[in-house]
Amino acid sequence: MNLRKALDKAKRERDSHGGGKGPLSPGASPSFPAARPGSDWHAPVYSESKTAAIDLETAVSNHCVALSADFAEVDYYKVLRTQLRQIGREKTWNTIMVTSVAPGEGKTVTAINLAATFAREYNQTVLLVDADLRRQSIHHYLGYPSSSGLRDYLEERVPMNDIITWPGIEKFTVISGGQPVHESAELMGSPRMQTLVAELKNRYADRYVIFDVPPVMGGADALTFAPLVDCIILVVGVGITRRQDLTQALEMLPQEKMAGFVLNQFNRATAHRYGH
Amino acid sequence: MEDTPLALGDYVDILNRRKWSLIIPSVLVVLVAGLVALLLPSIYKSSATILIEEQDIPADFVMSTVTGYAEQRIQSTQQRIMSTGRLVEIINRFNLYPEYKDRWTTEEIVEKMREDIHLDLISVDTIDRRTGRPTAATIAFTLSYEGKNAATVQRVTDTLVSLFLSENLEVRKRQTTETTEFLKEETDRVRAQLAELEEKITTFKAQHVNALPEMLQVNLQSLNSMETNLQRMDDQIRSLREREGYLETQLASIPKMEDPQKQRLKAAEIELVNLRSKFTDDYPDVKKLHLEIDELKKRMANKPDGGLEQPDNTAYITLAAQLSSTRAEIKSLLQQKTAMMEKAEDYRQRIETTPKIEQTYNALLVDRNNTQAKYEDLLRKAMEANVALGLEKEQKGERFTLIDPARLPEKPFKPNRLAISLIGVVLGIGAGVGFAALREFSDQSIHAPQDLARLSNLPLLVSIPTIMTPSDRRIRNRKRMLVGLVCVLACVAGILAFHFLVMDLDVFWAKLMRRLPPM
Repeated sequence: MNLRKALDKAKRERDSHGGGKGPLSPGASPSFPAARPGSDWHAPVYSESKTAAIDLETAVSNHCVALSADFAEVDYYKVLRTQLRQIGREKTWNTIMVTSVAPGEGKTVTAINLAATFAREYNQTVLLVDADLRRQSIHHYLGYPSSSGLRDYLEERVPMNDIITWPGIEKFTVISGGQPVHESAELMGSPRMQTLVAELKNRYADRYVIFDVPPVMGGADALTFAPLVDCIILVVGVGITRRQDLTQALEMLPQEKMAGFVLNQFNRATAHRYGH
Repeated sequence: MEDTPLALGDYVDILNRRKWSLIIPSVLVVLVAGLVALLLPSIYKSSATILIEEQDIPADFVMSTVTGYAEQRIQSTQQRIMSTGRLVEIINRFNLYPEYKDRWTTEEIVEKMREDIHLDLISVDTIDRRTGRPTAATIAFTLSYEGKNAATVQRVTDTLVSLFLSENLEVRKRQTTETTEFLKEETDRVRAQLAELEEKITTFKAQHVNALPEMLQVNLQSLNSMETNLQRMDDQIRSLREREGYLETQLASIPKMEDPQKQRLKAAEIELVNLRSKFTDDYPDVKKLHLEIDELKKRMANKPDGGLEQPDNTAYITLAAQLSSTRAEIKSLLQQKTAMMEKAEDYRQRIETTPKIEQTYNALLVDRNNTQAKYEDLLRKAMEANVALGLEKEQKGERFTLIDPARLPEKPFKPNRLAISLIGVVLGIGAGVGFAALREFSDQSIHAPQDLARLSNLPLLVSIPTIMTPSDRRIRNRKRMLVGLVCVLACVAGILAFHFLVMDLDVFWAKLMRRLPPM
């Protein structure tokens, strides 16, 4: 107990010393290096995007730990990132759909952390798209207010640039927010969505676009959306996903796009943990 | 689907995953068992042992009229004691089962009491002397009663035992007396029957005294001898008749009368002739003879001729006498013969009727003999019963002796709190393990990478543990502390509530100590 308290205290001190002063400035965090001198790659300047400031404490308390450098769990996401890069390198995959079988398996947190981990790479920009049209939640997780999201673009109310938010993290942009919509599947399969995905995919070469899509069992959204992306990651929550549901979901999703599973909340007593 | 053997780590995982499924049912069951063990009321049991003593006098000498096995008698006595009326009386006397009085019917309370009374036979294995086979002989039995109050239990057992003993005595006495009386009545009845039969036989005999079967031989002999006699008589008659004929011929040739004057005349004439040859007529003698002859002639002429005169020929008379005696003899013999023949006819009649009579007579005799045998048998039995009655009166027969009176139970006999607690612990662990196993095996969710590998050949990109942020840890710690605090508070509140609402804690403690088995 004492040890834990001491650790917590140390972490808090580090937070207050490093980036705990509220919104992170792009260059402040050492884990998000700015454009390196001598490199011909420059971080894009999101002049066209809205700017928001994420609340790191809220984000961390929502388990979006990849935004901070203090958590050992980030290593798992680095493993995931490496795996995806290895799979995607040959096939020029850059639109990734993160979904799960049932709600509550941690796909949104996985999507955020994966996006943040990609953004840490020095020559990679990431766009995280909240494709859960019924319940926009990424901006809540990250702790910034947003009034427009994917729906507003799909219903042709606002241009695309107006919905992309730069939350103050280097090479990391987000589309999230707005009012919930009930006929989400129709919007997901609309031509405008196809156009959007195609545009996002081709706009920047070095950009990963990560879509947080509703669970397969929750509705038709995931199945409608699956053909539009390059690859699919299925988040499996330990003790949540039922075997038959998983089998069913795998049958419905296109096999050739399946990148693999992420086993979430896997607390194996005997498992070796890095750094602990 | 291949089954990979579970490694130790997998078990640890399962345990970790199902710890609450394991702990909560276990704790609940153990708690319930503990409560049951503590709260079950103490049941005391008091029992008395009664020895079955065989009769003192060997059964070869005196046969008891109380038959049946001791077990049967014990059971029947028990049934009699446990009749509703008696039990209700005992219940009222000792105020038993006050807690059920308001809720249960009398019938149910009596039924409960019947369940609380136990009668156990104590048997030993022996070898039956007659059959040589091993049997179990009941030598004693225990009568016990269970209840919540030690003193009452003892008193009720005492009452039951004394009831049992007196009931048994009464039953034996009644049985013996009844046997004796019954035998006596039966003997009297059979005796009357016998007398009646005897009477009948006597009358019958008197009626058919000559034709009785036992007289047949005599009758036959008599008839036989009579026939012989008759034959002899016939012979006699025949010979007498021959003699009669002979005498008759003889008699015919003999003159009836012998006249002396005629003979004198004849002789005088002859003398005259004789004299005349010598003398003349004038000779005196001749003259005298003449005169005499004349006189005789005159007298003979005067004398009327005919049978008026009695024969005087002696030969004739003798013969006639013989003849008449023979005739008289024949007559008497004929008379005798007639009488004899009548008699023989009578005898023949008797012999003819004998078979007819014999049937009835024999039936009567058989009846008489049977009744006689019955009577003798009954008489013997009645005497034996009388002896047995004496045996019972002297209490020398088989009897029940109280060798171990009901004692005041010091320790409750039920429930075995330790055993219940132990069973509770075992059951609790079983319930926990069972529940956890059920949860584990019925759980269809994915728990390990192997599960994924079995379902699909897609790669597992990464396994991420639950992310614990400092605030998560704080929340978790706070939650644990809160749960602990709530538990402690609940315990305290429960104890206080118990103290104020149910019973004082010191009283409860004392009760608890009393119930716990001494260590």
